[in-house]
Amino acid sequence: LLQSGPNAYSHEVLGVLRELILAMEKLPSWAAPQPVKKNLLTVRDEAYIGYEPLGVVLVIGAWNYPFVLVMQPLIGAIAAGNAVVVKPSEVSENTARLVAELLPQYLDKDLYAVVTGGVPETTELLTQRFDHILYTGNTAVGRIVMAAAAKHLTPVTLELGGKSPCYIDKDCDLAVACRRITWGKYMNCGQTCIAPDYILCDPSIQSKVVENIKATLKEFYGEDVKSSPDYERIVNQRHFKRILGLLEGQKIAHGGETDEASCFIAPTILTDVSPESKVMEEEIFGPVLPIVTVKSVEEAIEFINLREKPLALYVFSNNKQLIRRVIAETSSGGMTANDVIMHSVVPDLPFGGVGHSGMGAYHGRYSFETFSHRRACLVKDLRWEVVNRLRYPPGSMETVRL
Amino acid sequence: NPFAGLVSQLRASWLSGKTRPMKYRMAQLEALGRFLDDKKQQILEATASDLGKAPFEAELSEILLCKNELHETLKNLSCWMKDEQVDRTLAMQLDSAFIRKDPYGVVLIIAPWNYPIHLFLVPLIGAIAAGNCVIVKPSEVSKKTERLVAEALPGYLDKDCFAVVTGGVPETTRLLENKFDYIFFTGTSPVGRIVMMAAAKHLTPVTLELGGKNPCYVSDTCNVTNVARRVAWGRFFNAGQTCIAPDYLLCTIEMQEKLLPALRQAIDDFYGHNPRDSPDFGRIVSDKQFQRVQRLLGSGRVAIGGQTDEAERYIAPTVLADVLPSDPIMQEEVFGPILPIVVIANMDEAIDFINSQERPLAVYAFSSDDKIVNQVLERTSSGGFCGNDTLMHVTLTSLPFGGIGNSGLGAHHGKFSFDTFSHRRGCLKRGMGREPLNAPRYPPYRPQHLGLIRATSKVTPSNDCALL
Repeated sequence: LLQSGPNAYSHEVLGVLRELILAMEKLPSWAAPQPVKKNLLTVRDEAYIGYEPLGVVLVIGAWNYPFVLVMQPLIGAIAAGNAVVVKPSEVSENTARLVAELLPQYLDKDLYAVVTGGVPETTELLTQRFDHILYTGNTAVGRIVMAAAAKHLTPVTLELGGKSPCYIDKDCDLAVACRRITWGKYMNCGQTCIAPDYILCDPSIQSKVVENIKATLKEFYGEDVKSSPDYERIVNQRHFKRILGLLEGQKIAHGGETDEASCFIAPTILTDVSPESKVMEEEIFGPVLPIVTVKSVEEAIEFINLREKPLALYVFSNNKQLIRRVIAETSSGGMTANDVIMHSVVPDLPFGGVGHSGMGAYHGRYSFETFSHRRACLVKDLRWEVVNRLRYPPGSMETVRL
Repeated sequence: NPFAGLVSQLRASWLSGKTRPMKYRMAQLEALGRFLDDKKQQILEATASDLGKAPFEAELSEILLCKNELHETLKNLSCWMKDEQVDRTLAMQLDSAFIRKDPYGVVLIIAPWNYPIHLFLVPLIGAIAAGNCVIVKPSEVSKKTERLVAEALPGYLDKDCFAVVTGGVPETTRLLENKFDYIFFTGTSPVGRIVMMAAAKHLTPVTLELGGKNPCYVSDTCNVTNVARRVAWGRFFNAGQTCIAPDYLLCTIEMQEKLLPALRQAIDDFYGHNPRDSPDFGRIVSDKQFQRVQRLLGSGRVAIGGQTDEAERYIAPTVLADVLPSDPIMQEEVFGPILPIVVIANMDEAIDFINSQERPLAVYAFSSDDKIVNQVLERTSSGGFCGNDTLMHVTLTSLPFGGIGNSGLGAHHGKFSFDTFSHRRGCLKRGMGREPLNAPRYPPYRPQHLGLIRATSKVTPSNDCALL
């Protein structure tokens, strides 16, 4: 991916370290049995929820943030007391090799294993019975994973994707909004599941949006993006060609330069994009930002709701009412107002999708809960049988009223 | 696709936002309460006809427990619907971070025949409370109840958003071709697999309340009379057709000999000398189920009961002694009024046996010694656990009710129902100001900036201070 040092550190390693420290600090409180409210019939009993491991868990990682996307689930699975099989993505082969070599040196080989391989190996792995599967990747494969899990009645957490919309209201600080959007869109060369996929805005501000993003791009990557050490590349030829295909017939307001040999695609902005075009059909997962114009927030909301529920949703506005309305009238995995990406770094927010963007969630305590079984426990006394007489036959309606 | 029209109608209602306001949801829930009150007599009659359900049992399981859930939900809905504010990092102190509970959209609830009202109504309460539109598919096996629900329920709920669909396997299969936003299924494991496979095509999340063989361990140190009564009650309630009934007993040969007379006494106390004449003992729901359960009588030896009457679909409260793990009755969930006793040498053997089987919906352990009860709890895995009683853990709405492994996926009851049918959406609201604070994260990247990012995103463990 050509992730630059500090970029990779902050996106991949820092997040993992933070998760580790959180888990170590909080594990005793997460794992403690939770006493629950009792009723009259159980007032003398012990009633609580016990957190128990599920058993053997499978974590399938993705290639865009290849380290954190196996490590963060792994932390949760270990914290919850499971044995784990980790399957890093074969597309990010260097990271996969690293994980396969290093992890067994640090973890108990009896309980934790790394399996490498591509589609055939993963398919074979999925025929085995696991007690939970966490998969990060695309919607199409998500279906395959869930179908395989269904054969064993295995619960799944699917972190998928979609087209995360970004609505920019006329009433907002465009310079700030565009800087934040530029950061989230073009980091990792657009290969982020929660990147703002496309922009929705009024036609009157479209050109200002383009100008602001252009200015920010210069600030971030300099005059010659290709030589900036901070700008990444597309992961492989297949994705390079796929993204190139999305540019066909589009009005390129900025960027559009590519270099196949190095899988380089310049930060690109498309304007007046038609909702029916190819670039609006699939998740872009690349440094191409289409702008679709809408006349009002109502139109934006309708546009969003006609499509599959996205992993993330973004809205930029000074108008608090408008923001509240967008949240209330749409649904998405998660969302951030007046910024992008950031909801995913709040440690106490669950991170996950809904509809085609996924099911289940993790991060922080949600990782622990995802990989645990909440067992309802009621422990009564063998004495005090007299109380039970009410429920036994021969029954009478008076006792029911009691 | 015969149901496509209905599903898209409900989806249109969902998109209109009709089910989102709390007032609307409360009104629908209150209407459910009126349904239970107005139709109580018909419910008792229908379940009596379908299952020979004793009016006492029906009032308890089909009416009372449902009303408890309703009251709990109505009382707490506004609190459950509120955004949950969460802790923030140092860098986000001036932002608002919270979890929003979003409805999923169009929900499908498929219910079985053994508690035909309860098992659709309790999940329905959760689905409505969470703001969804719902299609209810009651079981075709409990025919009279199915007809009652199909005819009466739509009169109480908003027809734009709620519907009842009837039919058997072919209709359910067609129904499952449609895209739902959540599917809640109660039934057997094999059908659970089919439902999950169908859901996978649309990436629909599911809760599956399935079944299994719930073991009941009785230690040598216990009050035999009390154990016998509590076990008999749990086993023979609804003529054994309860997913959380104690399925089989594990005890030593000495305890078996002590338990048999105690069980005989308990059955006699409950149902009299001839349970067939007792108004409190139920019947098997269908000829097919009757024949299946009757075949299981061949295992071990009949120590108590064993009488059957095909015309009435009556099987007497029966206890089979000296049952072997290889016997037919130990190969499937009994789901009938037969209690097999499997003799083991000690608690360790009992625990090993339990762990060699699929994880059940419930594990029961009886002992006057707390330590023994806790050992069984700690060394086994199951949906839920009850020490020194049967069934009771599911009557506490503050406990989640669900399975694990073959016995199910997900849970519900009380707030857990609301949570099951809600999508927990992580939300962050930031301000447009203080942009300089964001500078460290932007390119051109500098290693020095990492220190700042680290400090403000709470990586170091000693940084306990959540306030500026």
